Amino acid sequence: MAVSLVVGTPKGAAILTSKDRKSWSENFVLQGWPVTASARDDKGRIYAAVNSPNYGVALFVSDDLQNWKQLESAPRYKPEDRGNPEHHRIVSQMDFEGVLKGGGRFVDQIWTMHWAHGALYAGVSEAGLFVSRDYGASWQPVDGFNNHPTRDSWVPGFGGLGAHTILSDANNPNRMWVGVSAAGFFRTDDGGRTWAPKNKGVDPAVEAAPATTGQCVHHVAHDPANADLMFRQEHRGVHRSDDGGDTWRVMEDGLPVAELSDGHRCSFGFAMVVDRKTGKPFVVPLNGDNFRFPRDGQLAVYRSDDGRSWTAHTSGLPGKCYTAILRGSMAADQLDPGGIYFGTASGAIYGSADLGESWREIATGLPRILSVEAYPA
Amino acid sequence: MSVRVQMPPILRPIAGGERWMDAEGATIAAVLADLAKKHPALGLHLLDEHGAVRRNIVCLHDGQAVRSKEAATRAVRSGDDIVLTNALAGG
Repeated sequence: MAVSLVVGTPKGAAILTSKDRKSWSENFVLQGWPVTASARDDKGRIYAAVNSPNYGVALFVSDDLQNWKQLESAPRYKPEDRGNPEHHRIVSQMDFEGVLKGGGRFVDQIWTMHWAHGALYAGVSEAGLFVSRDYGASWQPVDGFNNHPTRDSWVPGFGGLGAHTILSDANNPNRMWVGVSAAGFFRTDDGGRTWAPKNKGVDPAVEAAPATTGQCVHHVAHDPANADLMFRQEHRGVHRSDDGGDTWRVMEDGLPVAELSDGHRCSFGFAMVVDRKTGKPFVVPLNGDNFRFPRDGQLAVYRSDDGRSWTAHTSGLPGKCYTAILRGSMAADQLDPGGIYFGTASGAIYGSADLGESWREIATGLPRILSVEAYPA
Repeated sequence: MSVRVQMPPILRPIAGGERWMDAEGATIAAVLADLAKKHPALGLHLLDEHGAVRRNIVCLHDGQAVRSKEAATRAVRSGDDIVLTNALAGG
């Protein structure tokens, strides 16, 4: 039951390790680097993505989670790729010289990494997908996605235009999904050559009328071995799909519903995971987009069997909690019984070794938690 | 021109751990490009997708702060020291 958590923060990565999921040791590595994502390959090596407003995006790799070596390559756009002016405007607060404005397309952050079918994928902002088939030694853009026919209509969320979710089908190497804030959710069925928007049944972020793209997807989770059953935490609520994203339905029975800034009522949040042994999804609802902390300050994880109804679990979680849980900062260890972990924007990590029935704080005093991944030993 | 470049602490482990690194070039941009060529992992942090000095890098040279957009025209002499630093914000 040994597990290691790689916890990304703006000042490095906390490595939390436990043999019994009760007592945890903590080490802080990659000090000084904002760590935004991690992934494990088929050889057991862990990759950590860093981004620095000064020194750019890079990847480190480790065999033991203690010693890290930077790779000599990282995802990069081609000089001729044109950038999204609205994305540049949002990220320009970190642009000391102002050269982003009106300029080319830059990789300013790796939001997520995903290992599937012998390849390492990176989802980045400005929104794009890159793949490495040689364990990070070289990276290639997935042009079918990065030059998507609808790209000119993509509008960033307030956090920028980021490809933050990558999912794969364990039984079909040609099928993958990518989520972009706030362009929506896309699927390829031909190994990445073409991508179709998969947002039917999900309202766009700001438009009243249905649209093919423009949805503010926050996160999507599934079991790769049962890939077509998907759960989606959208800005505008929690959805389920039974057909690989072709159609979506709102499923919020039992979830706290809050009014969004535009008057729409739904269950808002960011993080979402699925325990593969049981198929159960987990979310951490926040009190709408104006407040973005748990309702009445009670931190609660909601669990469901299948999305049709949800139950709150609060045992061991604080009742005066006015922080957020970001989209990448929740993970499942896929052990039996399943361990679920999440980090807060105020630097605490909570873990459950019984599928969310009870929780304990396993780390505190960290910077804002950007990402959490769980790796069974 | 042969010059020395002082690395900030966060970048030192990426290229051997030395505070000072030797490099060649007639301008600050050329010196950093030389370092990038010799040390590709370090190069990711010095130059952007377009081969330009990263926008938030500031070099201290000859008593002046040289910003990235001036790096390509800022001439250096053999034996000069360049201190690589960066834009700073709060905690």
